[in-house]
Amino acid sequence: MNAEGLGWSRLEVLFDRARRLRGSERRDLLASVEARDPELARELGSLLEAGESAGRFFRSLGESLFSGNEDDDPLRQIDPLYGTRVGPYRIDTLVGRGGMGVVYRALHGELNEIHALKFLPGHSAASPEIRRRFIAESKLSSRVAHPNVGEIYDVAETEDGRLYLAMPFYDGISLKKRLRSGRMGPDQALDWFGQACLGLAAVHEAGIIHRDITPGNLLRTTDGVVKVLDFGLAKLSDVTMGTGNRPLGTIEYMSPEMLLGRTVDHRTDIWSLGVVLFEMLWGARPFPGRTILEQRAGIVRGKPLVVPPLPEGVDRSLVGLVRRLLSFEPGDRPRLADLTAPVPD
Amino acid sequence: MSPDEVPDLLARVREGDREALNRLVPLVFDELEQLARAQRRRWRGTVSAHTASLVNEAYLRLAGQESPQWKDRVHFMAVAATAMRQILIDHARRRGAKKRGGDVLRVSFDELEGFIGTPMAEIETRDEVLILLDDCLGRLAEASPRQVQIVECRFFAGMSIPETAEALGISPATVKRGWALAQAWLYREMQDETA
Repeated sequence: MNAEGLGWSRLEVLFDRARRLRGSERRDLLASVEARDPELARELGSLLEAGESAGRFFRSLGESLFSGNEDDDPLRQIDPLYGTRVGPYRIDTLVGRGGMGVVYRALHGELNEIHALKFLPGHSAASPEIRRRFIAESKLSSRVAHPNVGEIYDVAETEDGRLYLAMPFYDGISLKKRLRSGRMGPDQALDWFGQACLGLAAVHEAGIIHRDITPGNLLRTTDGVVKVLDFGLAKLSDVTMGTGNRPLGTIEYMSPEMLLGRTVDHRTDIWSLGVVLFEMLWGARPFPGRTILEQRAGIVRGKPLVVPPLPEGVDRSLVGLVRRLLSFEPGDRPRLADLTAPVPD
Repeated sequence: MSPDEVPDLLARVREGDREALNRLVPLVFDELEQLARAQRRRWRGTVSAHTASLVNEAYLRLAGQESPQWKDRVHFMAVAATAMRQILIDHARRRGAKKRGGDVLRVSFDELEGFIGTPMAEIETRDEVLILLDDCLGRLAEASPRQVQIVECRFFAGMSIPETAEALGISPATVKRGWALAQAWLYREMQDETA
C-alpha cells in the first residue's frame, strides 16, 4: 500500500487536517473519507499512525547523525584528501579556499611542523606549460621577505600532477571573514590598511604586481601581524582561467584600467587597496550593483566617487584618502611610500 | 568574490560554459558552508570545526557535476542540500560495504524503533538506517519529487521551514504540510521494510 496514484496533494491536505484533529473529530473525518474513497482512507489511517512517532524518529536520527564526537564524524572522514600523503606532508583538514585554490592544514613529517598547503584548482594544472609558468611565478614570489608578506616555503606537484604551494600555517583571521561581522572602527581599519601597504610595498619592490588584492588575501595573525597573501598568483589565473581580455578575477576590487583591458602596473593594487579600505570603513563596497555588468559600469565610468555618510568616529581626512586611492587615473593615486608614513588617527 | 556574479555565471553555465562552472563553484562555496553550519546548529546547538570537510566534499561533488540545473541563487541551496544527502549516504554505504564485505545486512524493526528518543545508536545501525532511508526516498521520488526535496532541505541540510520554502520556491505552509507527510510516509515505509 502506498500513495502512488492517489493524488499526492489531496493526501497532503487531508493528512494535514486529520493530524490536527483528535478523537471523535478525527474518526469522523476518516469515516467521511472512507465513504467516498476506502483506499484513500486506509492510506490516511496508516500514515496517521506512523506520523505519531515519525517526527521523534527523524529528530533522533538527525541528532545521532550530526552530533557525534570528532572521531565518529563522518564528514571528517570522507574528505578525499584527509589523511593522505603529499610529498613530506600528511594532509589534515581543509581550512579555506579562494579563487586560486583550496588550502589544507598539513603536517610536515620530517620537521614535525604544521604548514598550510594551497592546491591549485585541477583545471589550472592541465598543461605542462602552465605548470612550468606557475612554478616560475611562485619561485619569484617566494623571494619577497617581509613581515607583512606571506611566506612561501616550497612549490611542488603531487604524484598525479596537482600543483601546490607550501606556506606557514598562519593562525589568524582573513579580512574577508572579519568583515562578515560588519565594518570596523577607523583605528582598526587603518591598522589593517597600514600593514597591508607595507607588505604590498615590499611586493612591488621585488617587481611583482599582486593583481588580486581582496579581503580574502589579507590575513591578520593572532599576534596582530597583517600578511599579504597570494601575490603573483592572479597573473597565473589570467593565463589559466581567462579567455582573451575578459577579466575573471574578483571584479569589485579590480581597477578601471584592468577592467578596460589597458596596460596594468603596480598602481592597480593601490586602487584595490582603496576598495578594501572603503569596505572596512563603511561595511559596503564603493561601486555597488546587482549584476557584474552594473558593477563594472560603476567602476569604469570614471565619475567622482559617491561616498556614503560617514560612520560615527571616522575622521573626514580618511574620506580624502579613500577618494585619492580610488582615482580613475593611476597617476592620481597616492604612492605607497607616502602612505606607509604615519597615517592620521 | 561577490554573490552578485552568480546569476551571470549561471546563465553562462546553462549555455554549456565549462569555465563559468569552475568560476561559479567557489562563489557559492559560502552557501555550502552556511548550510553545513545550519545543520550543525540545528542538531547540537554548536558549530563544529569539521563542517569544513563536509563543505569540501560538497564542493568536489558540485564541481564534478557536468550540467547543473541551477536556475538561480536560491535554487542553488536546494542543489546543495541534494549534494549533502549524497555525501552522507555515500559515506554510510561505503563504510557499510567495507564492514560486511558486500553482504546485504538489513536493520531490524527493533533497531529502527530503538531510534525513537535515543539518538546514541551504534554507527553500523545508523548507517543501515540511512541506507534504508535513502532507498525509501527513491520510492518517494516516484510519488512526489517535491517531497524528496523538502526532506533534503529539512533533514540533510538542516534548513528551517522558511529557508526551505525560499530554496524550493514554495510557501512555508506547503513546506510544513509536506514535511509532516513525508516523515510519516518514510517512517511507515521503513517500518514495512524491516517488519
